[in-house]
Amino acid sequence: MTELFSEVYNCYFQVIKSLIEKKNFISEKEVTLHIKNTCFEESILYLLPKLTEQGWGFYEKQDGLLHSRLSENFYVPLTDLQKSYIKAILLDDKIGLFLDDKEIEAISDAFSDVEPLYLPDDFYYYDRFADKDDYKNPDYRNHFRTILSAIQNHEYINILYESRYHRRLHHSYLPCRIEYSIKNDCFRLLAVEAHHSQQPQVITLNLCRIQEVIPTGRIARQLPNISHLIQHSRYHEPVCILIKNRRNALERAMLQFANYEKSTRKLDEDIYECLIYYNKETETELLIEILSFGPMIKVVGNETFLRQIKERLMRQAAL
Amino acid sequence: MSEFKELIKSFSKSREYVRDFFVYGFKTRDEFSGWSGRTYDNERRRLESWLSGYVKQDYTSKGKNIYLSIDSNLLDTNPLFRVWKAKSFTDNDIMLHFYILDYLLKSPEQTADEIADGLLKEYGKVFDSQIVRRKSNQYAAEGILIKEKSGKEVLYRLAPPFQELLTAHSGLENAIKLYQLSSPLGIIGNTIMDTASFQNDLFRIKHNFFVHTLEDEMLLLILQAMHERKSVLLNIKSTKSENFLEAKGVPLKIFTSTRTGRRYLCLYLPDKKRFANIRMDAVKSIKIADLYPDYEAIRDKLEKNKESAWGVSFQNDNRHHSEHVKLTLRINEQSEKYILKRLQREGKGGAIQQIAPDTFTYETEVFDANEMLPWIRTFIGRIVSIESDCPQLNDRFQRDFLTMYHMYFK
Repeated sequence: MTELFSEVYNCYFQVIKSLIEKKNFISEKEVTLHIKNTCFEESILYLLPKLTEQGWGFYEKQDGLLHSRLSENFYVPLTDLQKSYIKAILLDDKIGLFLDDKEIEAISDAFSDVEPLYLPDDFYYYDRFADKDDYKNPDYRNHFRTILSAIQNHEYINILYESRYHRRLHHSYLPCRIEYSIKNDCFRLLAVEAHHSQQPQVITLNLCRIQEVIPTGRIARQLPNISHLIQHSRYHEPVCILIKNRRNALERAMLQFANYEKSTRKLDEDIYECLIYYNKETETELLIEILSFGPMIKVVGNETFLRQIKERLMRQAAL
Repeated sequence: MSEFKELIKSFSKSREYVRDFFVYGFKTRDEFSGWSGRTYDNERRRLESWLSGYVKQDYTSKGKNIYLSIDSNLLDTNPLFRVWKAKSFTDNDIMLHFYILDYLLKSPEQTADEIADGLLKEYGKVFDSQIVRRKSNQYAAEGILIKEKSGKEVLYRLAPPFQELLTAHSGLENAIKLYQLSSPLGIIGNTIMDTASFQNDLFRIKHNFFVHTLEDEMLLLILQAMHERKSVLLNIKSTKSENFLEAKGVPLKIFTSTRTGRRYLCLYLPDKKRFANIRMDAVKSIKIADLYPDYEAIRDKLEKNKESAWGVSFQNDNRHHSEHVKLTLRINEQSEKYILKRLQREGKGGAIQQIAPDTFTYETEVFDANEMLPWIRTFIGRIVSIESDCPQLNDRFQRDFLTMYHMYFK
């Protein structure tokens, strides 16, 4: 087994490789910018002199520019570790969304010298939801591929969708990303409506409810920044919880809420305050996650969230 | 004072720091026990350099604390992968990497001596042929170079470019964009993206715990032992105290929670003749030991047993083989069908039955009923009764509920 923590994957090696691929002649300014954009924050201090002065000698100065001494078609082959990872993902049930059986076989044959890094059975997701998407369904696969292609081409698509209440909805969307949930083992489309106002809203559609996807041929100049839109959709006030550090609750809570943007501070010996940022989409999920901690977590704000917790407690007391 | 270095030789110390910063994020300099002030300062500076853009800081009465605030749903990749790309190297390492690969691209099938001569001729770089041979052998072991004997000579050539395969099967590139976020050992997928120079412009991930990547070095060894049907010797640090202990067992499976962020190694303990789950983040070192002859039989047994485990426990405190749990829930059958759906998809095959208008029961049989308590609490507001042959289950629920009620209303 080859090493994972190896210099072959080092950030400096990668940045030099991508610089060489970029072009044969490059200015010092471009090198600086590229290192700053792709490497660690302090890498520039060490890396730049090694590339531009008497260092490793990958470049020589010509007419004020840096000329690469390495071939234009320079490449780094995959390591056995990388090949065996690819063989592992070829065994996953979602791979059929991307490749047909013949392609899977061809890629597997190309890496016949290595074994898969792991097998699906090596892992067991013991609390995963049971109603996963059907990745073998030919319609599902077609929808998935059409959407992927539309995202890459910035193309508007028309979608016929069956809502949770079995209503059939027909809308035009600009697809932005596909979201995969490990817990639900399903995909969702993150899109914006084609005819949106100035501040578009992110619409989430379950792929398994999509009945039909039709490309429109209409191309958007660019995709909106979906991260900004999701951040914008968050409530102004985060939920504020107090965690009592008993029964290892602090460690459990910090790990469980690690997926959320949050900040935590110690109030006294065994009480910690944690602010968690969320939006309407994640509200119920966060609420039941907090309830699952029982008396180890107390919600103190915001008012709306607190009211929902109290309502559930009152309903329980009345039973 | 030694000079600060952005890159590191060994991963283990930084792994603990990143974990503490990422998971906790409220510790000030004084609260990082076990490390000197200077170590803390260096580790913090390194972390700020590796993960710039994700590191935030707060000022409290006890001092400055820095933390990682990451909403996994907003990112194209796991920022903690960057930690794996900080391995230190020598000038020779990086020069040999680029010059040997470039030279073999131009002149395939060369001996180590010929490569050493070629590096001098082509690039004006002098390297001892022993050093060139050592690096070429290392790269042949990694799979980057192909090493073949031709008569008495050992020849090296470049392995084929991955780009050819990507061009022939374009779906593979998109698949790697997804799997680097969603699969175990996604870091390796991410390094493939570096190697083939593409980025994820398609996928987002939900319910992924980025911190798991810090355990990936251990995971690789565990998978190796599993595939070789061998036992392992583990050095484990308690997650509740500072104590270390040794354990020997047969690694069978990785149990992962998609909700709590915990990941466990399921071991068979031959001495105790039982299964046990150990937190992956508690495993500090692993030694692969001897072959376990009954591996297949014990793994089959686990397959049968795991269906009756609610979580990761295979036994209970009441000396029962298994424990019966019956929940009676108030669910509006017209307007709250989504709750019935929740029971179906989260209830691990438990039986659901309507016993009266708007009243349903959910029944199951598990090894350790206490493990169900956090899930049961998510139904607060509709729990009519909890019946179980585990007496502590209902007692704990009622006691905790009363405490909660007093917390909010008294």
